[in-house]
Amino acid sequence: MRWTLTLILLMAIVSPGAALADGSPRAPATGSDELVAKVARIRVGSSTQSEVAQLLGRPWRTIDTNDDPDDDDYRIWEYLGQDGADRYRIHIGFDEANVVRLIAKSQKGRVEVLARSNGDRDQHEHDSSAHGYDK
Amino acid sequence: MKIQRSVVGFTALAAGFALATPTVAQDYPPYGPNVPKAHFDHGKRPQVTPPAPNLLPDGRTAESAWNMQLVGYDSLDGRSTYQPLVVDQVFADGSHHWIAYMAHHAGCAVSRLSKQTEVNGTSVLDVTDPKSPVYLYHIQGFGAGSPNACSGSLDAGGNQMAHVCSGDSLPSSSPAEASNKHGRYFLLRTNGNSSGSANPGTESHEIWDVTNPSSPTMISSLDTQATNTHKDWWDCSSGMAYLVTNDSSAASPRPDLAPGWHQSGSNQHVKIYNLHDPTNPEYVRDFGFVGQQPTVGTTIEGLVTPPTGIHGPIAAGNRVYMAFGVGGNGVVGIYDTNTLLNGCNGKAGCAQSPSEADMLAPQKGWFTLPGTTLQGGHTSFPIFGEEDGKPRNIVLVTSEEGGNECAKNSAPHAAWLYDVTNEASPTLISQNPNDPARTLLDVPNGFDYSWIGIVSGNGAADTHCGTDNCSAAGVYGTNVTPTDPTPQPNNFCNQGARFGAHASTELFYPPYYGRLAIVSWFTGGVRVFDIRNPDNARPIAYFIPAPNDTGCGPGGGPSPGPGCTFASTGRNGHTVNAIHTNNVEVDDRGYIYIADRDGTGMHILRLTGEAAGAAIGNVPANH
Repeated sequence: MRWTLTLILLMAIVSPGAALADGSPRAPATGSDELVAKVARIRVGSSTQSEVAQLLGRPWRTIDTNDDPDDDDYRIWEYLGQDGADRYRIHIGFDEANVVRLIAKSQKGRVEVLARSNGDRDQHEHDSSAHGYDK
Repeated sequence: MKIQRSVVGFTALAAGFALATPTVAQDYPPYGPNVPKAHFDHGKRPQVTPPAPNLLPDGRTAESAWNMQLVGYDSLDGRSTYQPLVVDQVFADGSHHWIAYMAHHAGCAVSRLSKQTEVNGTSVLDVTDPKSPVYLYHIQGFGAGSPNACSGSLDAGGNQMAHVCSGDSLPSSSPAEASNKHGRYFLLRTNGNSSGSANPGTESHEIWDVTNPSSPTMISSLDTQATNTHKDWWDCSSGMAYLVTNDSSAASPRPDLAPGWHQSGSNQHVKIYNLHDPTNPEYVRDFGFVGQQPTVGTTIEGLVTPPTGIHGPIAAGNRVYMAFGVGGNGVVGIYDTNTLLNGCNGKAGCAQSPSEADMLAPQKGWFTLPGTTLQGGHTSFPIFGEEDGKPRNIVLVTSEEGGNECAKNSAPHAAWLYDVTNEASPTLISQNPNDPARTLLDVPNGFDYSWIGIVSGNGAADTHCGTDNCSAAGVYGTNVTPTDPTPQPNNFCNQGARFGAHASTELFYPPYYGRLAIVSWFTGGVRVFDIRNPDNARPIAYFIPAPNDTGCGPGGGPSPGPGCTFASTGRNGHTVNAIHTNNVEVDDRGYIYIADRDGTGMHILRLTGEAAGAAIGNVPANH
């Protein structure tokens, strides 16, 4: 697949010296600074699902509609964070190879794309003759 | 596991025992001889433009209703959901409870009951009071118990499909069997999905005893080491289960293993089992569209070779309707049930590897769809009826939109009505030559009910779509949404997720049967069409839920997470938490249930106004 890495928006905080998480399950909500700092270490276009699990622990929710290798649905992991009085969700989208392609923050219904990779998904042109999958 | 048997003989035997059953339970759903007959008319009812949906300040659709009303809601703990199924179950004390079986896609979420992270499976709710659903149980799904179940790949997970039969509706081969099943209910569900060509496959089907829906117990599994399970059908009146699946070539040898079937697109064909005794599945045969059998002959039908895989069969009366292709290269086949079920009797190897003649013998007709390669066969729902005192049989067909935000060069996926009274020559009815999919059962992407961004397109040439010029179709172009190079107005294609048809209801309940066509439309919510005059279908109702930005607890209340609706990503990386209505079903009271693919939950609806008036029978009154 012709994925081309394009970072749309770099995370504001990068902490390369932070230690990786030990993989143990996390508390439901994570302090904003800690979660954001860790998320900033994810490399969109190359970080894998197992690396994300090692970094952030077990996600709060996962979604894999994965009916169709030709569809547009990412495999999604969500983590919870706390921003002052408000909770938010970090949404991490993986491609079919389980590589991170999208990181977004969802708060009060609003979605902010923090980083994503560019590629076929953006072209959104389907070969209908080959598209016979999904459910 | 027993091998193929004489279905005719069995049916006769079963009928005898059915008569001896001590209590006659509700024939759920009303299959077999109890399929209601539709009465079509020539009413010249006006085509009405539905009102525009309500919008949130950020451009997402808000809750919007036209001749429909929200009655109840449950978040389903924020799990992505494929299919709703609601069953009128008679409890041991004789009371009726309406039990919802909500079949989930793969994933994990925190259960409100156990407070633990659980692998998505089947949520079970009591919806007897539709205003206040009670979450009874979550039957965990594929991979549950694995240490990495919720932090590893779930690409083969999910329990997307569910069917339930009453033990008293299923036939029995002995009084002891009938007695053992009396008063019990059985859930058939897929276990896993899309393990692809993994060798051996990791999927299966499961049967659970759900007599006590608060405490289901698994009683058997079948079709083990399968791949690509999907939308099954279980005919409660005959016990026949038509499983959509495929066998891995490396699966362990067993009598019902049938490797080597051929499909384009989705790798699925049909394996038929007699599940009259859920503890003892009996293999009948494998089947599909001619050309999919392991030893291919010379007959070429359909649009591609090998023909596209099946999405889902529906059996009713003495016919089985099979939709192939899902979202492209659509073909619908019509088959004689008796010939299908008994055609391999006495023929060695026929069940697993039928000859071309064995494949063609049950076939009564087939057809493609307008746009041919651009549209797929997802659901084919038969409507047996009469008009002017003469039989008139119709099939409601849907294709499935598979791309988010109306992918460039994809056709708007829609629904069609085919007159199959003459099965050898199906005819497209309710045509709309001005519609990109040439049907009156379509929903434009513009909020004002106009099309935005459609350009001319063509599928492959063909002559089997039941009308002239099968290949012509409109398709979405480059500029459809506000994020495109030439920005267009906000519309249903700008909601992150898919917009277009997916599935129709599949149960034969009055009061809607033959009067209303009810179709899930992803970001368009659920759409209802008046088909009393099937030559002039018209929109009559819709409902679009509000996205859940609050919480995944009961009723959308407090939960660990701030909101259940998760984001989908469409054109140009546009990422939105919006509605994604995946499937819809009705119950025998007339309530309509929709399930959200993006975790928003289950909405229970009722018809109002003109739509309620178009139905007959026990339509729910105001609540």
